[in-house]
Amino acid sequence: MNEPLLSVEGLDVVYRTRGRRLPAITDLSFDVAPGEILGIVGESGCGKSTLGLALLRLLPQNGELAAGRLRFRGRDIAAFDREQLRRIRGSGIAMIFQDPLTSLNPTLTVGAQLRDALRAHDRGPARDRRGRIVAMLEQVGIPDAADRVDRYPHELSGGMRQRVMIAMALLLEPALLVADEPTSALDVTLQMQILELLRVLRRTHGTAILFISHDLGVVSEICDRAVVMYAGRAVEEGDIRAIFKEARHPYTQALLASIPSWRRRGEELGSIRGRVPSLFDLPPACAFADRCPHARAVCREQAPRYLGPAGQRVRCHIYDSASGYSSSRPSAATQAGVR
Amino acid sequence: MSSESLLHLRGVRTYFFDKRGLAAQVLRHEGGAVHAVDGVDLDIPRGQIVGLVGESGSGKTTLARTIVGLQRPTAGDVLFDGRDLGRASRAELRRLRRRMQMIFQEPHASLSPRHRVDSLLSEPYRIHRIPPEERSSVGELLEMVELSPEIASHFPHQLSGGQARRVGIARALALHPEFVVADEPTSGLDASASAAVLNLIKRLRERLGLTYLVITHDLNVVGYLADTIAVMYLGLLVEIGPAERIYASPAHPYTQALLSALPEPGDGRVERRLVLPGEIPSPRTPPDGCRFHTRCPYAQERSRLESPRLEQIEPDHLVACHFWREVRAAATAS
Repeated sequence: MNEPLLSVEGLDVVYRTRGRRLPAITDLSFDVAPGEILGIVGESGCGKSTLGLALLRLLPQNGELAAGRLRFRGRDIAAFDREQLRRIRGSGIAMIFQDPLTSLNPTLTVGAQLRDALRAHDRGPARDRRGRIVAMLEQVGIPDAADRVDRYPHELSGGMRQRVMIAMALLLEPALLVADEPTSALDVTLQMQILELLRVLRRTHGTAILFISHDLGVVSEICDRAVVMYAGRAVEEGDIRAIFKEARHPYTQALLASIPSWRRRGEELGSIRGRVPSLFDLPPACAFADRCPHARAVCREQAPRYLGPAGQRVRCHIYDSASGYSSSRPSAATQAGVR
Repeated sequence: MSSESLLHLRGVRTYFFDKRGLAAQVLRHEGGAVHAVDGVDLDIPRGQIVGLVGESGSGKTTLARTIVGLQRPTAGDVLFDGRDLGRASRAELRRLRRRMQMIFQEPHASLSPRHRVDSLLSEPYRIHRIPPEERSSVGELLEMVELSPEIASHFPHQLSGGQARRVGIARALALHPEFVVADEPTSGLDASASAAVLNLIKRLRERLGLTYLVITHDLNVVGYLADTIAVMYLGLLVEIGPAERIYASPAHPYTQALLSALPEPGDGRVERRLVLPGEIPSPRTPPDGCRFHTRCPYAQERSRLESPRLEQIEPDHLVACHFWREVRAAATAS
């Protein structure tokens, strides 16, 4: 296997709040190869957006990289100083957010915002900038780019704004694009256009993409591999087809069983009992144990390890022959029955 | 399937006019009106779930609001159980409205933050001055939507998204309606919570014999729930038919594009994808001829000149496209 572009190892992110430490991400590890599209999937509160912020060292004041390494091209981002960070943001790693209206400056024209990005990284002579910006806007599929470059964000439609965001992120030709729910605010037909655009970018520029989403359908459309997160931990990683065909972790299985489709008419959809646990009050061993139909005593006593060959790990006692799962008592919750 | 119609729409139009008024519109020779709903005919048989699909700007929410009487139609008739809502007396309208209720999207925005759940659930009874003996207890309503009785003393902010949505459903059911309009019933919910709400909607139909209009942009949701699917684009219905027919053999290119966006994990899905160019035009100035022609891969000269009418292409299946035969042939060939 090639040298990974990004390698996350044992990452812990903690938020300090009201005198307590909230473990937003715990022991997260994964690799992204050059040109790969890796999905980070999970429901709200699983830590997936925190991950995106951590990678760019954009965590809020009370957020802290408490442990682990974030190696980008072999160098640890966690140890970077201001200047090194400035250089890597934009030209090494760029980010696009869910809601372009809150990420674009409403008082600057599209062209002015993109020009700032170019200037900050001193790329090319000043007189070429406008031409390069217009070319980039055209590349992301903005019609009449020469006219739109002088517009303000509020004059553009939602789909166009998302394209401007993508153009801004790509202007500096980053090797890795972190996309946090980039299509969630868009209608289906626009969503398809943006996904198509991301696919083309990967093909033409070899851009690797970390695609953060709660939408398993969209993830299956665009990603090569995916990491499924629950309560701040990776519970399963794998090739996208393998995850959809034979998910191993009970949480992934439950998520897949909950997706409605016309093929499942007449069936009851799977729903997970209970709620995602509060990060203040996580179950001590397996975070999913209270909601898991397969939980046994060991799941409440001992934290499961993240095991398996790199790229195919799973965090569940069922797959850990040393865990004593098979000889463990079924837990009270399992006996109570599962809907 | 019963063919008795509970709700019938005849040429319903709902326009929104600019504040600047008539003079400016006449002088500029173009309607300043937003043609949100621009001539919709639809029949909802008793006991069915009809799914209304469309993107933002298609007019689907305006149509829903027009049906339940939150918005007055500019033209056309809404008939509920044979009664024309536009001609009903105030008293009659009040009685009819009790029988049709709406589940709003964004439950946290539609539940007053200062009232506890029990007060929110009995509010419809106070508004409609329902005598105590005809009321359901808060406990019964909570049980109906599969919530535990302790929830009664909670404030909306103490509820999860899924719980708030159920409270919204319970509130709509308080008046024992026959017809329920659900606007984006799963938007903003996590996968598991939205599966639970969909299961609930189905169970309530069996239990209470409800008729539903479910409005959503999510084709997975209508595909799972609806008996009949109506596809809306820029104020008009472009295709209506039984769900199995629509999914197996869509006849309108817009429906085809929406369906091809549905991921089908694991199989060769890329080949079927039909990516539409551009965006939905403004309902203030809808394109002439077929409204979809600006984005349609099948559009020809005729599409720009002549607006297609809904025509029946097989039993209960209607489509508004000049070229539906070609569209269908292309879909089955690929």
